[in-house]
Amino acid sequence: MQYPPKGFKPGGFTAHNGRPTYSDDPKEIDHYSTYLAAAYRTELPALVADATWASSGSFEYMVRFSVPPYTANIAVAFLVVGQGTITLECSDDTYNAGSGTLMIPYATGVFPPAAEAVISSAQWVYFSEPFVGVASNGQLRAIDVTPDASSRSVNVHWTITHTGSGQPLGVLAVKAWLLPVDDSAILTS
Amino acid sequence: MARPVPSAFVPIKPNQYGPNHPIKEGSSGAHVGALDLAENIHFCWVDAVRPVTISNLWSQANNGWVVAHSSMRLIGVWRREPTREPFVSYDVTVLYQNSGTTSPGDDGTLRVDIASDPYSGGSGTFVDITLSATLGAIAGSDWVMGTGSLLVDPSQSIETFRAWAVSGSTGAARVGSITIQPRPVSSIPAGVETPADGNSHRFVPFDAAELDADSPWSVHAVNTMIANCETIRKTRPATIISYACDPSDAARAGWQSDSAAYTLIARIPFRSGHGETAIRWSIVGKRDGSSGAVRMTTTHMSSKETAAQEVALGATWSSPYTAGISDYTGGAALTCAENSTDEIRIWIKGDGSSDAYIYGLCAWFAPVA
Repeated sequence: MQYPPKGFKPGGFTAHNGRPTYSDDPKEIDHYSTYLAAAYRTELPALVADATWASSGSFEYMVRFSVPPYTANIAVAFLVVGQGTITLECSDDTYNAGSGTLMIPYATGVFPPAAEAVISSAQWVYFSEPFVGVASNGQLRAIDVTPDASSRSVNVHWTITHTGSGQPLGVLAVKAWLLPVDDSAILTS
Repeated sequence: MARPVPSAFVPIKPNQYGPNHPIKEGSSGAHVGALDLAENIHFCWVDAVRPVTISNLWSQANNGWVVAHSSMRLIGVWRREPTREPFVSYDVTVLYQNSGTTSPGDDGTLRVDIASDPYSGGSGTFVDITLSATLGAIAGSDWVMGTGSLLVDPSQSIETFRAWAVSGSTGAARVGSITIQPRPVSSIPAGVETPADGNSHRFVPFDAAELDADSPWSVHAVNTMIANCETIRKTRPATIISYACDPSDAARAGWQSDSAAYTLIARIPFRSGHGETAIRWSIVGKRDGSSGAVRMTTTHMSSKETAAQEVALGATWSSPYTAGISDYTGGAALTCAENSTDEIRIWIKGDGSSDAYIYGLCAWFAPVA
């Protein structure tokens, strides 16, 4: 199919003997295979690593993401507490997606970061919305990847920088998910 | 006869199976051929739908990513089901830094092996990836990618993947992240495949002769192609989390507590798909004191007043590293509602004075029945 059938509900079709085979049959097969290739996306594993639990400085992480066919964006969410900035980048994207200064206070003096008082205060910061026509850094958005008819891999890189004076920035978990091309897109091979 | 697999998905115009566009035999350029439809399904079977098996970061905050050892050291353990047929090997990708300056003397090595056939003196099932010493002084963004391939038996009910690392003569290798994913298959075996996941789904490949001019476009062929799509969706469950840290050094454990009461230490979000209602899991951990335990649940389980899964941690953590691993087969899978957003919550407790640690946690959806 030339258009990704995002609203497709899998498994609801059966052909029957005695009924003439007409366009519904190949259409359903084509819908399902296009759904698998261009709309169906399985979870990416959540990433866990305690981050900038120091009073200053920054840390950089990079992960190789597998990108199925017709993926247009990678959305990322960070479970954070404290004060600082997050900058998200991808090898396919000209511009980065930065967070501005986060200020998510938690119970002070609670270390190590696994303590319940900290995670109970943590909030998800989403880089989830894909923007069109991005021409500058720091817009807190899902990062762009180049859609292709075959599978690819890209490097996703983020920097966590502490900027506060009493509240270091901590990232407790990172969750990424793959956004397929828009359903108005014409698929090409 | 060949069971063709295209190198990429081939979109078909909708009007090509509309009125006055009969389905043709084989692969037809101007019209839709029955084999065109089968080939796209073949591509999804061997390439397009390949959930990541393991993706892990090592923490920089506690120097959990630094490998400055004189001998191979275990830096990660993951216990989970292998991905099923037709995949028999995995692409292993590591992003690393190495501050050594002389290659090969300062090169390090990352090794991944499996517990069912461990590395032993150069034999066993393993892959070695060189951590090349080419950088000298390291800047934060100086990541280098290393790749390798690891064979894994897809018929195993569960497997333990292990990562080991060693640095070179001078300098330090730093392992930042690892990704392990089934490698695409370049050809499809002739026979019917029945993935060994406890269900009865089948994948029936089509060859050119079955869909040629002498073979009518049958109801059976239509239903088999639909069933093939169902098999792909139901036998490729995703990984929700695949966390591991260096288990040799308590200071590097990401999750620990000495509290005698359960302490919430992790919230892992996930989105379940169509028919996905069970989450299988494994825990790698130990305790220093007289007792220690881990508790896991989902928001769905809490709302249904379903008892959380609890694992008592053992005191032993040494080679062959099997005493500290527990999985869902010793308890039960977590549950969730299908097509919903939910969260796994994890608590840990010690004995009131000594720590308990989680060195690894895997959670993945059970195959859809």
